[in-house]
Amino acid sequence: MRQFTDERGGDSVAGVEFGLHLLADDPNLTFIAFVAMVLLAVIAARFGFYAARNRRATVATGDGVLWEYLLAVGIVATVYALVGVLEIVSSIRATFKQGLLLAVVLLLALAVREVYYNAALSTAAEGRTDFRGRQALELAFVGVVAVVIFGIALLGLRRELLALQGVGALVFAGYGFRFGRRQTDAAMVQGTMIDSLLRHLLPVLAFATLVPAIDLATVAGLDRIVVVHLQVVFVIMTATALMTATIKLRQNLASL
Amino acid sequence: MVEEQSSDREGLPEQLVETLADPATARSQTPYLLGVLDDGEPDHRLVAGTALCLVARSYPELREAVAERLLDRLDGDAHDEVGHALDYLATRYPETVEEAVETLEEDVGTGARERLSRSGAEGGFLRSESLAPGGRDRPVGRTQVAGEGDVDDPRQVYTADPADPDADVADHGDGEDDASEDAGGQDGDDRDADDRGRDGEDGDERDGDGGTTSGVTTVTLRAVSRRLSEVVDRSKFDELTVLTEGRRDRYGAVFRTAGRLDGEEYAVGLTVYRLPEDHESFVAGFRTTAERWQEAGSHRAVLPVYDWNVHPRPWAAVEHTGESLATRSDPPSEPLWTVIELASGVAHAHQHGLVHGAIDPGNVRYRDAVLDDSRRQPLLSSPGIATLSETGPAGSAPGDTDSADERPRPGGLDPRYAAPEHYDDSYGRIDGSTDVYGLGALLFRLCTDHHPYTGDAGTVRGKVLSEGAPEPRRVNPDLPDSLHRVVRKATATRKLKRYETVTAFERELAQAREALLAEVDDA
Repeated sequence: MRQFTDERGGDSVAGVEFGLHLLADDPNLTFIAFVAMVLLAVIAARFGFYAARNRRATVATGDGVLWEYLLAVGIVATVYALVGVLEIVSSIRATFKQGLLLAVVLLLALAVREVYYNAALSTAAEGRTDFRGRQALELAFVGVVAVVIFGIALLGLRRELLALQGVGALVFAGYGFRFGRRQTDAAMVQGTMIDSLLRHLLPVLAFATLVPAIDLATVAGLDRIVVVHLQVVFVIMTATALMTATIKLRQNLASL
Repeated sequence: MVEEQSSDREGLPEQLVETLADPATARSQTPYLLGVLDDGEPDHRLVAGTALCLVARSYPELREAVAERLLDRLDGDAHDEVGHALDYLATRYPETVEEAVETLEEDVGTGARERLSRSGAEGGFLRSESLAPGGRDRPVGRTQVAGEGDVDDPRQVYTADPADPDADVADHGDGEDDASEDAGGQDGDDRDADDRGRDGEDGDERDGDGGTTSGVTTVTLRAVSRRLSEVVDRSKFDELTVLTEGRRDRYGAVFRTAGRLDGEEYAVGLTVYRLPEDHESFVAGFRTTAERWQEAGSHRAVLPVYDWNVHPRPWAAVEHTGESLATRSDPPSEPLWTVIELASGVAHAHQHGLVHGAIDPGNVRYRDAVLDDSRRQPLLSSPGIATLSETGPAGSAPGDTDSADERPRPGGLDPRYAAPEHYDDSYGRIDGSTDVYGLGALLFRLCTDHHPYTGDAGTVRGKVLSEGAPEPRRVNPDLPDSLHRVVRKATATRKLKRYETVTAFERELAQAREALLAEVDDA
């Protein structure tokens, strides 16, 4: 199935043609996808900017890891969105880009875990001291992301890789939500600023997870065009959730 | 300033200049100075009077003798400088001058008292803030400044109380609480404005002299009243009668006054704020803060502000309060209710854009007389004022406390209740989260009857920044989980882990209280 159609020829730079390239021959889908990607690029860049400023402001107080994760979320999400824009305005085809969002999901899950470990009284919670176990798990997660990105880039959208991408996203999200649930249930955290930040990050995690996870439907036999439509919707939802999380970051920065 | 002093001294006798420069070694110059007061040029007399005061300050044993010599000169032709010098001594060392007056012949003594009052009314050294007398919050009973006010109902005026409960814990730290300096000690234009205001009052006060019960005390009160005359003029009160000399508060000088407005009497605590170096920004900030405080004062747990102004310098007339949580002898019988009330007041202040910034026991005040002592309404005092001033625990050096009982330095927040951001900018700025910390620290104190931290300022600073949130269970192992948790969350070192809002703190504390009350009921 052909996914992309050249609407009109454009200038060619280093073998890359610039011009409008419709997604799935559908101008409406292309327009909405373009808006979604630009929106996500701007909001994610802003999110990363405020994460960086929070990191700089709290470098002495030990919150650095949390802000580093969130900064990475902003950067990778921005790259994902810019790649999406490039796919529309050029002949570049980055079929691996959902792997970037998989990386965003992983980073968000790790950020939520860090929030949990950062929270008062959970500092000594079980798992925190099991550094080797955590490290091994992190490496495994990063390996999944690497396999998905490089696998799709080299081998194309193979069913196995799409399945790994979808399952990986669900596992990462489950990992993050496990910590998120623990924390939101912890009386020691309720009503605090970090609780509020977490509650704003969880929707981002949820919607970002759905973008790569929905590719499981492709594996199950659903038309990929339908899946791409759904992915665009979830990208918009991710951007929206990220916007409110950015407000939280700004609020925290204002108090520093 | 140094250049001005040098130029002023041009033309003065060398002996006078040397005495002025080093009064501590000028004991033998006393007769010379008295001689200059008698026969010198006006400028020389002025300097000689100043030098005499300085010498008297340096040699306590000379004070009475100097006072006697000055009283001897209080005849009809006495130079004004004699009265000025005596006025200073009378205000600074009232007992000594009183003794000197007592030694005079009755008729001479009476004349001296009158002259003292007159000289006081004319101003003099008292108008020079650099030589202003030390003030103590010494209630003077029903004594009313002669010629000022006509509070005819004695019940409306405070009675003397030797064990003044109004003394803040911060007040004890300074052996020489010089409230008068705070009330008038200012530079430049402000001082000029103050002086101009007083000049306008002088004639009236001289004419209104009369009926005093104690010449020395009256002179002192006159001096204070004169110093506050511009404040009184600008206040909305029809009358504002100064009742005490004033005491030094952490933010400035506080005077008990009685106000009358539209026929109603008000017990007023008048605070004249101390100006920091950057007084322009303080004044600008004070306007905003006072406006918001006045709005927030509508809440039952916020000390009401009757009036305020920034001229001649920032001042606020608030409801008079008696003791503070720091000075209460008995702990509140309803500690949780007290903190919930305060949290409600802080939340109300936050809604008006006002961050307190220095919540500690000294800033929790109580009204004097209550019928039901079980639920004395706490009143949050001076919201936002601390954030205008640079003074605070962050500036305190190790050992900067005043005594072994670790009282805080006057002018600053109690270091034991200061949030990490008070000590270190890297923990963020002073904001609503800081107030959450302050309330948590208060809750610690009320739940455990101990301060969150102990030690001198340097030790406390180290503990606050390195040990994390204080653990009330260490002090009170029987503390319920719910309260332990609320204290820990409120006093978390990092803002990220504190209650996001005071309302969240208040809500959880109220829930904890309800649960505890229910447990008691069930039991």
